[in-house]
Amino acid sequence: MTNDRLFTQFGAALRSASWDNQEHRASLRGRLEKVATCRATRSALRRHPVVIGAVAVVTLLTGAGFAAYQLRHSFFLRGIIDDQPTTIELPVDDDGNVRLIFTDDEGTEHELIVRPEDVDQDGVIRGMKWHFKGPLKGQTEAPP
Amino acid sequence: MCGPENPKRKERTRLSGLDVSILANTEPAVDDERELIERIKRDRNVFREVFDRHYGRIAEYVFRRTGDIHRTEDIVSDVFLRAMQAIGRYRHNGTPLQAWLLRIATNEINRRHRRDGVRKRAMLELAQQVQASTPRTDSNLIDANLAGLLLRALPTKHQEVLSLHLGCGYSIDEIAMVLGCRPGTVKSRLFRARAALRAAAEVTDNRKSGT
Repeated sequence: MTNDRLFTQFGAALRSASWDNQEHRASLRGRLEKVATCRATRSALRRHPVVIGAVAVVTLLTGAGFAAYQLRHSFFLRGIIDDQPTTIELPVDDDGNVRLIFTDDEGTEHELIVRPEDVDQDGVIRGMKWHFKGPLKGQTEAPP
Repeated sequence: MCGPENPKRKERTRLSGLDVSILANTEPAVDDERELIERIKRDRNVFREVFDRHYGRIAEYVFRRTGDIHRTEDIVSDVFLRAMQAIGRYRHNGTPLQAWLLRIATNEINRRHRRDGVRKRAMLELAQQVQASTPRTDSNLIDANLAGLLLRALPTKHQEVLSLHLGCGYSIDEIAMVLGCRPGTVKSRLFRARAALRAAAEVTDNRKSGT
């Protein structure tokens, strides 16, 4: 293979792995819309309710193992919150659980519980338990 | 160059004989950016305009360096966070914001690559892939996966110039602006990077064809 051909192929291959900007931005906007529909429990409302909801919701939407840390940055940058992301703390109840109530698109409220064992040493939510109401009642896994 | 005051960088930039043709043509005019930065200093929420304008190009560059969506999102978030934290000390000297952001991204990618041993893993994966695959003829195209592995198996400085030049289409002068070095330095890095890429590609060709 000639040098020119190699570099042409290499460049074309690199460019073919294109970051689908529009899709990801739409996805981000979608996440923000979800955030707008969520609200935290009264205890959670005492501190940064939007941020708490955002972290939980986005973790849910993007799948387990996705660092809440980076997502806070995204929301911070989008102007959703006006605080230093690294100062955010999740409020807990007497048992050490974080309880959040979310309202879905149809207005039904669901409860999400993040237990202490669901959060790793880096503060990343690795798992969570849902209490769905309405048609999803009884399920404890995140909706598809 | 641009960004927080750094006399050493500023001097290097001044010497580099910058030609900002592509960046200047594709991005808002210098005055517009200068005005934008002043507005950000008065109201931090205006920073979202920087995010909206440059997110795509920065993410594309990071994605071509990393080849991983989640890693890209993580790094791009950090890039804009760092930029936002530093923009209060920003002195606009005519160099496009995009170049500054690309430099932050480059530093962040390099830092994470070193921390995570990305080059070593890419070399291992490349070797495994070569051994496991069928012989490749000369007419086979390099696919995105192989290109990514070849890129990440190269030294960091080679990765920078190849991805910026071949992957993102920046000119020599623009890359010099991003990396804060002279265009001549970029040319020599590109020359060495191409040679290294050629050698790596030959190794994979030879192994695949069993020679």
